[in-house]
Amino acid sequence: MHIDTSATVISNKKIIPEHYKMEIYSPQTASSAKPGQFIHIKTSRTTSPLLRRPISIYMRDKKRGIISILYKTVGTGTSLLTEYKPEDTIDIMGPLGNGFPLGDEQNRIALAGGGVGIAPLVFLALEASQLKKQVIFIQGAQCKTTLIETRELKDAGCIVETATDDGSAGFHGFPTELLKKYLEKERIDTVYSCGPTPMLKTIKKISLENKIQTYISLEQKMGCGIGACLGCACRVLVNESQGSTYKRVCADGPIFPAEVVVFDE
Amino acid sequence: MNELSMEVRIQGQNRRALIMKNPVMTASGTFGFGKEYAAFYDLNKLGAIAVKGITLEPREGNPPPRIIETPSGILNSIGLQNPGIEGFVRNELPFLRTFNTPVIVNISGNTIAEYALLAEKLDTVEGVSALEINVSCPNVKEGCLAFGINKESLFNVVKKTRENTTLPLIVKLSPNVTDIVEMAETAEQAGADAISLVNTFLGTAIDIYKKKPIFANIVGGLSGPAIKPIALRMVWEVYEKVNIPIIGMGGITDWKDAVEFILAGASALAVGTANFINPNTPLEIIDGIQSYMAAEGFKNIEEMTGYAHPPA
Repeated sequence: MHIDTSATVISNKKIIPEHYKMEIYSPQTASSAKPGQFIHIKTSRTTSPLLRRPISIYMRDKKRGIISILYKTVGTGTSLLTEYKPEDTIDIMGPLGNGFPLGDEQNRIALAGGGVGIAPLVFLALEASQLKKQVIFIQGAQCKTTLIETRELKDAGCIVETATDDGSAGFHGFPTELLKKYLEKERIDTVYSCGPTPMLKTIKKISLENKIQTYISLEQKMGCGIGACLGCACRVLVNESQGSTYKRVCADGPIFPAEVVVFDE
Repeated sequence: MNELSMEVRIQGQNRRALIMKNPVMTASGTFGFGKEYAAFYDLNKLGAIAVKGITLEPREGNPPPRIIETPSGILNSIGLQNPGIEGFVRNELPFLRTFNTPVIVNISGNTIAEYALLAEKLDTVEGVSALEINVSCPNVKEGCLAFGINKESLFNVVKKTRENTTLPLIVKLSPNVTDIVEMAETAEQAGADAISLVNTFLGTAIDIYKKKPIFANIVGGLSGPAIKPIALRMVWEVYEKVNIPIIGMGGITDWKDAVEFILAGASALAVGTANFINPNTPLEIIDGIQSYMAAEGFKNIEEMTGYAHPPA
């Protein structure tokens, strides 16, 4: 973990409506990043917005010292990000968070992501492929025009599936339904997921029903991003005798085993 | 150059004093127990560390969301999540003891007896250099803030805590009062050795689509650059009437903010919210103050403190 106040923007392009891909030159971040980790970005040079924005690492190129992020414009911070141009310096902190646990067994894993939530899963899929794992990657999107290009995954040998809410491309329905179909017909050792909360709730249910090891990436409004301010709490089961407690999404997570996450308080 | 000293001394009772190598400390609740920030720099460089607020029993804190960003500020509703005094002494203090930086323990209670008991328990704990009474946390249902907004209860809680500790005793006041000077005078009369000014301002925010407050607790505490001018004004006013040292805080983001607080009357200052955005802020402020002193011909912090006030 470190601050890189002189990271450099390599490219920053709109790839589909409201979604951008930014490549950032930051060798130290690139060399130590693990799938599931995030960087905390200072989007403004002024005090508004004040806080940094946590954004998952989407891809990295160790050799060239580059990490990339995939972000959706949802508010002031992410809108400011769209204004960065190649060669601009950008103040980032990271890599932060725990990352997805990824054993080195040559097993089969399924990744299910919704919307911009596919970002950390793309990084995971690429790393897992290098470890000779069989990766089934399910991308969920609202419709054909909001699907994100995943050529890199196909090139890496992943099985790529898509699901759209309106059926305009791939499977008609949620990525979770497609995941269920996979689990019915073949052996999957571990499931990984990131996306909107309703989707993660369904993932947890599927995980419990199928008794399959599952890791999900949580989101919460963050302050410091390093575990000091206790701002990004999420409720997590400790064990039966101790019940549940609050954990920090930024430092204890953002990745948690699905079965321990308590969604509805 | 050699004559320039940044040391700050807050005298307690029984010849116990809080001696800081420079006037910059970290504000309680923004720095955990130091571990996270130790990854960024050597904590020995800080003037002091005020740890996350401690209560007798562990507290799990408030349900999320706990943070709302506002223009140049944040509202927080953490709810004093902490491991309790035993957990703190057993699991957090040993790490802090490895540094040559004084540790200020911020304490909160539901009752006056709880403050007194916390003070008594911490009085002779190795590695604790001072106590900071928190009578200003807006995020818990009972106690705390209630003691900070009423003169009589403030007097009682400070006096009882004073009777149970020989450590330098700091009182962190709430700005959510009509007359901050009156509260500061009360703390002084009750035996405080220093005053921290200020804790967060009460605020709220509403989700316009759910049509209800965003925080489960409705209100939260506002911090960050947005509150700096008000905090600074309060330091100014209190300095005119109170003789014990003031630790200034409230939106300090760079060395210029820090110098303003010192010139307004602060003997030391705490960096809070700014730690979240740039963990190196306290060190940058220490360097900035030192350069300012050299350039402006100040030889020590005492000479600078309150310098902006007209001569008596």
